[in-house]
Amino acid sequence: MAMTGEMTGGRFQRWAAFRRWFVEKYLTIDARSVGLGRVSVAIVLLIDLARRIPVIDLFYTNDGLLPNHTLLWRPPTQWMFSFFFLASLREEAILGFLVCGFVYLALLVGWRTTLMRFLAPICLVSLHARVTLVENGGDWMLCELIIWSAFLPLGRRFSVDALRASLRRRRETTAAQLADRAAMRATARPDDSLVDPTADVNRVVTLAAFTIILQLAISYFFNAIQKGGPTWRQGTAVHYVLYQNRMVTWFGVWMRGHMTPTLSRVLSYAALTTEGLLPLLILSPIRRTWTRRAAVVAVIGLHIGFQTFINLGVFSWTMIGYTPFLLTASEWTLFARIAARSRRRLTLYFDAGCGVCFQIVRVLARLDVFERIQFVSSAELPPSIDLSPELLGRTIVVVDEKGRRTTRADAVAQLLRALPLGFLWAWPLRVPGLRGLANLGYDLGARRRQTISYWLGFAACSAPGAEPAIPATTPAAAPVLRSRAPVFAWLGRMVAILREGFVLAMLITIVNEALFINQAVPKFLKFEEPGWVKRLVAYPRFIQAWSMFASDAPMSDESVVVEAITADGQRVDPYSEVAGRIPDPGIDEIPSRLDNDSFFFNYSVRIPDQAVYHQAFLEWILRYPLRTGHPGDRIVRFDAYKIENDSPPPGETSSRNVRKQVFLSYPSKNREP
Amino acid sequence: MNRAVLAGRLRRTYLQIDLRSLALGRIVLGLVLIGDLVRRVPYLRDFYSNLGLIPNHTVLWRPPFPRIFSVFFMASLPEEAALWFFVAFVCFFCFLVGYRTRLFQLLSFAMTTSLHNRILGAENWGGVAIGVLMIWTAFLPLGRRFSIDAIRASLRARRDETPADLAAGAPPPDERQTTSLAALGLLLQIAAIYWLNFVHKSGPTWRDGSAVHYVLWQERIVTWVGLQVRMNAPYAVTKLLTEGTLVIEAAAAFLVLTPIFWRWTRFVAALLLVGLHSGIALLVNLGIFSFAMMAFQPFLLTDAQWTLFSRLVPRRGRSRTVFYDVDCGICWAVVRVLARMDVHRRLRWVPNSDLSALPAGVDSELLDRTMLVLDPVTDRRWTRAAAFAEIFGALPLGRLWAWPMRLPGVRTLADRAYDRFARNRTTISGWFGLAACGVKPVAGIASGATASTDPVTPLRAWFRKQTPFLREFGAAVVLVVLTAEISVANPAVPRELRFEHRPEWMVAAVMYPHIFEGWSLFSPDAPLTDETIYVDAVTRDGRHVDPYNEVGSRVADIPIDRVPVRLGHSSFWCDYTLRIPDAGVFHQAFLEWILRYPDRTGNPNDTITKFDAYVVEQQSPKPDELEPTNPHQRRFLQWP
Repeated sequence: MAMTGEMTGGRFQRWAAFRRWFVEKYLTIDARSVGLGRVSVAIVLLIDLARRIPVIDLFYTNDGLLPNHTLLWRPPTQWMFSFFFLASLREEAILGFLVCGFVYLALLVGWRTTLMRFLAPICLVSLHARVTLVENGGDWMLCELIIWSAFLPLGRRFSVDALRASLRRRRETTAAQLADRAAMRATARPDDSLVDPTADVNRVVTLAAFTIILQLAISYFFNAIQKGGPTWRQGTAVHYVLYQNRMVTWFGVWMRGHMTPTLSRVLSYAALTTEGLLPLLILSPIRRTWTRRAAVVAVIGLHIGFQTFINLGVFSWTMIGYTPFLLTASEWTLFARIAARSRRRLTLYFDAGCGVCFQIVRVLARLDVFERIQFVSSAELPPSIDLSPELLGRTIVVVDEKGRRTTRADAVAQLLRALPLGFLWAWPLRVPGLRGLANLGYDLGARRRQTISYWLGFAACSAPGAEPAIPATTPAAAPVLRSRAPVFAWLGRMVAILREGFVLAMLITIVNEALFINQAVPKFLKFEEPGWVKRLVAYPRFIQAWSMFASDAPMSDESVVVEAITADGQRVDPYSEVAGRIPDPGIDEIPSRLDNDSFFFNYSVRIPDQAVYHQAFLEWILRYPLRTGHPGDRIVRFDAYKIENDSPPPGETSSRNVRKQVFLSYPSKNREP
Repeated sequence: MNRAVLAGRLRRTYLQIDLRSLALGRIVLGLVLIGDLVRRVPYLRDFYSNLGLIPNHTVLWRPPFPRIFSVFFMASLPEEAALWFFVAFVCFFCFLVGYRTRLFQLLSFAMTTSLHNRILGAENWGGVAIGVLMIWTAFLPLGRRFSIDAIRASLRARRDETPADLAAGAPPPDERQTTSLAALGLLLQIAAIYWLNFVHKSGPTWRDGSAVHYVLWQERIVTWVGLQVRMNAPYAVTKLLTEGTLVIEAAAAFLVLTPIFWRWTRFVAALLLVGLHSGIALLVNLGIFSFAMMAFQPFLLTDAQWTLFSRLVPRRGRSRTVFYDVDCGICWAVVRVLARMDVHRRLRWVPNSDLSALPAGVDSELLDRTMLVLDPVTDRRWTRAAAFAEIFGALPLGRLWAWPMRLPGVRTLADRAYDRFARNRTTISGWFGLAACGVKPVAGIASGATASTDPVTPLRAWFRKQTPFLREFGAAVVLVVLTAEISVANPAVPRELRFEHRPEWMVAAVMYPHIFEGWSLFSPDAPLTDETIYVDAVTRDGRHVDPYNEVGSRVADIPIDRVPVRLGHSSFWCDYTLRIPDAGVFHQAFLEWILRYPDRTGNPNDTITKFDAYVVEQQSPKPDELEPTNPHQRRFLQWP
């Protein structure tokens, strides 16, 4: 019996040890990585939104190629959600874009993050689901990125929310109290860690930490194993990709002129090897710090490479957007060590009588994570310092480590440079014209600082020599702790359990979907997805089909051209005029570098075979005179062609075997506008 | 009379409205919204999904207006529409109970607009009535009384309330009048609706008193009561109803706007209009229209009526003294809430720590187990669930909540629940961070108070001061927009007064929420003809069925040569029936819906092989006739 007890106890201990190990390796993420990840995700979201602005009429209104009623009548998938289906007119779509922009900006700066991390996926899914016909894998990865990251505490670090929480929790009243940075950092704790002050505030444990990296690993894994065709085996894939004129960049065009078979092999195998290794690097529990670093470098290098050669829409930026979530605590320690090497030290002297100045100083103290700035108010000036209260009444003074003094906008620029990434904010203040404006703005604010302080409810002493707003000595600022009734603490735990439960459901969904939809998965592992899985995939666009340029790189290119004749006899191509660089490519060849955006090259690939959307395409073409404003541009007839050619084999540069096929004509005997 | 006095009188007469009237109006409007939602539930699939008669893509392809808003355009599947119905219900319910009233009023407006705009082909002017009412009341504080918001505000205002404070009396409710241009707008809106309806009724049927007669011969809308009146009541009765309708509609505008004895003329107007619309609802089914119009009437109540109501409320017979356990945090929190709901001041609250106040025969040990309610007049006593029933009975409309707890089986269950709660009240109090028998409350949550808020800065105070100006500016803009709309939408408005060339934004402001203010119900004449549609479809096994009327009306026999008696349509089917024959853009959707008949019945033999859709019209009988005449029909759709 004793032996059984020992065995059970030993098994339990091994299980507990494994659980601890698994939690540490896979379910833990650094809050700083999450904060940086939030910033990177928001930037990618803004890029995605910005690139849709030029095509808002074409893809988000009923004057465009994909009217809302057409997509709702013949939906590409039966489960779709998008609030852009409410928008028929241009101004309605613009309003939707403004809402999305506001949400993304709020997410970027970390304002009301708890709400915005819920709204941002809704906005993104709405943007994408409205135009599923022009989606690609990059759009799916972005949806997955924003949804997985929504389960993480995105606002805990590097956010306006964290800053405000810290300001509320510790209300300093003297400059001396600002020097206690340890106490200040303690106020950055989330509420639940107030219970255990020894808990690491940067340590986040959640299943979502695992799923976000698993998502990345799954995409590379399937992209790698499904690239089994001859072009990848023989190393000609990169060569053929560069002959996709609908997506190749100008650098890609230059490169293909210098692409040798050897170079193509090197690049093809490098891409394949990188994609093959990345799942291992991302998921490796051994030497995790170094494998993750290697993964970050590999991802950034791979996708900068892709983006340099071909335009895949938001795909490359999205994949780079995942990388901050791979950073571990070791990287942050390393960053801190590197930053600590800087000898930059500043002392900021400011007016004690100015309430708003002191509040700004409180904010600066919290942003000064490298503790490079010391704060001294006019009420605490040491006698050795040669600074008059009158000067401090007009401007702040910043003294650097070499004793150099700066005032006004220059002083602000110095302060900004001392902050993390501060050089980004500081350099505009040094540009000659902007510097003058900044000084004007500074003087304006300085002259009115008492009024501003009063209006914002801060202390404001206007008389020189009068008592300072912040006395020299006051009791230490005590943290204001928020107490929670037990029932709310219990509710909080239940919410956390539900959240983790939902993440688990999504995890099951993506595994299920990945096994079902990817060709490389053996048949015995595939099974019909239950309805709830299909819905969880379709609604948030959680598609897991990872086969970019797989199994082979495309060995042919294609495009769509419309040959239309106007009422005044002109030959025009209404589609190419908006879709790319060349307004009239003709039907005899696919010109070099069409410079299509991903929306257009996806539309061009799909529209010839999507007869249900042909009527919408036809009506859009016939609205040509409304877009040009010339009544003479009325279209009397047109033919829409699908043009294909075979890419040149390695060693050659000319495409061959151009084929063209009419997929839509007007007028036709069966069709009336 | 000097100008200040005149201005004061005008302000009181036209710009002020009692907070209690606003609150009652909110409750009635909330009930109307919920009722409107519930009546759509049975037709969710047929009207709110793409399996139905009006698919979202058809409406978006050929919208009735260039600008139209509805969240239901996002819903293609029945379950998606159901989800939005649930969201709408939550918004309407929160609005009804006055929780975050302003927010949920705006959301409710968006949801009710969405419900109506999604199926404009099957809507009548009830949606417009609800829409304009919600727009005017958006500028008025509907949540200051009879609401959760009011109770919370009262609790916050007296955070440090003690039992002694409560024993001395609960804080008085807010009995101020609110002053706003929106109050005038609401009065003008009500007057405009009835005046325009009156002046538009200029045709012969209204002049000769036969209008109600002809309305009752509309088989698609007549109710069972209407049918009885039509069949059994002499013509003089319907003539009287016709004339009564005109009199009430004409009088309403004057009664609402007159400055003489206005406190009582408005009350009379409200009573007359409730009577008018109740009568209409009894005789004909116009969907939510009658109830939406009744929802306007509480806003006509003045302080004089509230004073009258409070005098009519019996106090003495229902006064009670409540003895409660003051050491119990949750009990104290509940007492604070109940004290604020006791607007008639019938309850006196005595803590068990006041031993001198305990009645004879009652010791503190009893009060440790249960609260005690005492009738000070008869000395009758109640404990446990019965005590709660007595407390509810003392509250306004409390008898509605109290009587279930007096039913034998329910009372036993309630007693058990009460005992369980009483035994665990210390634990429950601890869970909510409240004081419990010597255990201190969680810091900052004593007496149910929340953490202190930041002080109001001058900037914030300045912004708050601007809010009334912004609100009144908004109300003024709405007044201009709706006045312009009324001027162009009603033929009775003289051409010189029409705002013909409105800017685009004004047109859009009216179009999006679909608040076209053309008020001409049964105008200029009552309809002299009646119509319906039927579908003669042949199934695979040779049967003739009418898929449309099987779900849309009471009578589905085919073929028919006249409009059947009392079709019993809901208003959606009624209005769809009127419009579909001439709405060619919706014929394809109608056809596809008919062909989905076997999917709805689940019987593969119900596959339709061919069908013809007909509209049947007839002339309604004159007052001295008994039967309709001239029935005729035409086919408007066939397949294949």
